[in-house]
Amino acid sequence: MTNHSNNPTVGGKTSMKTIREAINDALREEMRRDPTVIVLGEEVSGGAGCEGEDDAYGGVFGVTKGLMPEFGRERVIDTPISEAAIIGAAAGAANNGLRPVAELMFFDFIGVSFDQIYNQAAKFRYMFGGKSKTPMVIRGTVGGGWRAGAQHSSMLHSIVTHVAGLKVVMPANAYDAKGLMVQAIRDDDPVIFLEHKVMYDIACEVPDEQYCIPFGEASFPRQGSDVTIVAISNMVTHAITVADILAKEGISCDVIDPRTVSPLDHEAILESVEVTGRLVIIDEGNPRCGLASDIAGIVAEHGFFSLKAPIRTVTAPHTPVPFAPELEDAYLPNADKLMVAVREVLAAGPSGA
Amino acid sequence: MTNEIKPINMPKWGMEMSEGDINAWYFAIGDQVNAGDDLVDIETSKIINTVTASDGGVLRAIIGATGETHLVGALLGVIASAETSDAEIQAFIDSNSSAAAEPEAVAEVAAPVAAAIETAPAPVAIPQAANGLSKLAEGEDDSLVAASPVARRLAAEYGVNLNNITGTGRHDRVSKWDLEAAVLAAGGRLIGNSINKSNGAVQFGDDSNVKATPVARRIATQLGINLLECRVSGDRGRVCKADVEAVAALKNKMPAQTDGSSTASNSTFESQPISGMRKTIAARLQASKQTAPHFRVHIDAEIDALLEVRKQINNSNTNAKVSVNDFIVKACASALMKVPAINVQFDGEQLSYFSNADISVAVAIDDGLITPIVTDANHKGLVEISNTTRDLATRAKLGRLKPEEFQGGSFCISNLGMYGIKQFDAIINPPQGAILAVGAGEQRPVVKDGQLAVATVMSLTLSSDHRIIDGAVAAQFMSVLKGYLEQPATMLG
Repeated sequence: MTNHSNNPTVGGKTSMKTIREAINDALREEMRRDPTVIVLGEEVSGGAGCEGEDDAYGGVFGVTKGLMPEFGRERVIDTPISEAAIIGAAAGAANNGLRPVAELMFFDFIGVSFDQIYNQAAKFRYMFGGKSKTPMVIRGTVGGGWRAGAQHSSMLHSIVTHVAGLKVVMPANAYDAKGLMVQAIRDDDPVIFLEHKVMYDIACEVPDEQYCIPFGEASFPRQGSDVTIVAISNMVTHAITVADILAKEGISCDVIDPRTVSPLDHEAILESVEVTGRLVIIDEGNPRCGLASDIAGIVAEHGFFSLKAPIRTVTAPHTPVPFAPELEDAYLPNADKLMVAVREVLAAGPSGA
Repeated sequence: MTNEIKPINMPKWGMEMSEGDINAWYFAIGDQVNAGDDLVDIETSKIINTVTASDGGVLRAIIGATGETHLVGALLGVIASAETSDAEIQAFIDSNSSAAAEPEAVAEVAAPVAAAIETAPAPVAIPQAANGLSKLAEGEDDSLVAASPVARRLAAEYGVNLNNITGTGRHDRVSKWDLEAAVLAAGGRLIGNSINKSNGAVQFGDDSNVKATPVARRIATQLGINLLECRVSGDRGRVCKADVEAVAALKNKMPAQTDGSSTASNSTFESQPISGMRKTIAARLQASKQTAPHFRVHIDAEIDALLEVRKQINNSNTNAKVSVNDFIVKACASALMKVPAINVQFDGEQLSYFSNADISVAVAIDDGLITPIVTDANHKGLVEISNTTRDLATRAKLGRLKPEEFQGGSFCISNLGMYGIKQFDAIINPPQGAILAVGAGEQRPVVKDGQLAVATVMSLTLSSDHRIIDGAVAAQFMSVLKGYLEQPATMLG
């Protein structure tokens, strides 16, 4: 499905896996490999100790299903409904030698645990001169399209990307999800791992063995020379759709999936814009102080003389996510909106389309 | 005299000057030069002028040789004292040449002199003849070398093996810039890069601003063809695929430089660099014909009365040598005052209506034409117009016009009557709104009151830019003009 041209080659057997299965794989293998890896969150196993109900949920999206039966309740911990407690416990455990993977069912709930994240976990290693580290992973679901309403549909990656000391990962396919999760668990810094809730069932070939994808290295699901499209998470799907349609018209798109928004592979973006001279960024987040404006700013600052046309961004409008399905569909960036922007950028500028 | 080293730079005469041709040096290397001496003649797109020495000393170096084209600001020569060492001179030249080279790339100025495409070397997919570059191609399979996708893609285009490049990018991978630095260090040329100083062959400038279809641009890159070489025949003024392929076909058809087994036609041709003036004429008139929708109105004027007045003037004043064309300038000036909607410049966005008639008069000169301006022609008498025009035309032919004497103008006249041309259409001289094409005055049969008669008749054609001038206005102007020409006394009113 995806051209992993800059991924390290992984030999051996592969299987078709969904993003849900790929993350589950990564967690299971890392827990087998490293006894300090633990999982905690609301109903990451489920059943509340009732007979016959053990592991009834495996997380509300089923990502951690099957971990409790193999590793037990000491390492797969169902917590009370208190995000502050989950993140606080995870941060403390990480400071004391464990490698916790904490789940925020919906990343919208980061609000009640934000102090533990941005003012504690993100700063420990910095404040203590490297004598302390916080090797924790915070998993959470993001994004709209799931008919979950304003409080369960936000795309909040820009909030955590803004915080120095956090790494922010947003996989767009199962291959990346597994390799990035392994890297996230082995990483000594707090990592925010954002899973798009409409993408869990999207599958591709995934190697059975464990592998790491280094943070800060973009992938290029499509390569071309006429226009650069930067997309992350579920927006990569739309970018590929647009690139494939335009390819039939003889227009080639460089589609860049940064995969991690912190650190960001700005080098790959600037290189591509040097070749194409045209840039469109599609992002599901709100437009102000968001990923799209951040990347546009980087390119305007460092790649200005490569540009042949103004940069265009395609984002959600600056409102919460609506609940009415029609409105939610209208709210979300999609391939049609991206196509309009790409065509405008191709038509603009001194050398025309 | 000081011991300082003084540069001689390409001057900038007028807003539009971006480069100049070296026509002639008045001194040779080693000659003593005094401040104020004429140093070198420079030809721009419009004029030839002389650079004078601002400082005295010995002309120690000539960098801009006669016949070469150099950008504005480029170092042309060096004046210094005889005591200054050659090493110091060389260091000065080196530091100044690189300083001058920088702005070239940024400013995207016009190409250095472009020889005709017929002299171009046979096209190669990617220019990489340098030996150093072929060394970069050697090496084992590089598929596992850490490289950014863009760098890997370009490496394939350059034919470079990534094992030979030191990566300094993210996580020490090879970046686009690592690759390009290595290519340049090996003596290679960057794809799509504009300025190449080492290659003596045909050089075209940065073509990234040339309007072209994506397909045409891609093919041009693949074939090593600069879009500036291509004809423009696509929609909306774009270079299209067929244009690029035509250049490619032309290059492939060229007799190879090394083997004489050409089967092409026996007719020979002489390759000549295109002059600065020719480039300007080409660019301006192409832009005019593409952007201004021309329409023409045509009228005949009987000029027997005019010829009679002319004779009176020239007989009564021995210093006067008023021509028919001078009458036309005067009549146009008067008509422009009557129909001011024609007395206009248009830059695509803004209309500028002028209060006086500044009339450009097309003058044919060696290898081109120029349009010196008779300013305030509405306030000048016929003799004054005549003297002004003659002075301008004389100096135009010598290449001694000042920029302000040929840049601007609110209306233009092109007269080919002296060649016996009966009638023709002229292309508007942008940003002006209209141009009058004047044919020969000749005796023709005319019908007057139902009777056949003979009159001296002149055909006049006005080309107007329909974006800003409508047919009725153009017609009104021509009607007024005809009136002034047929009854010249009315111009006095």
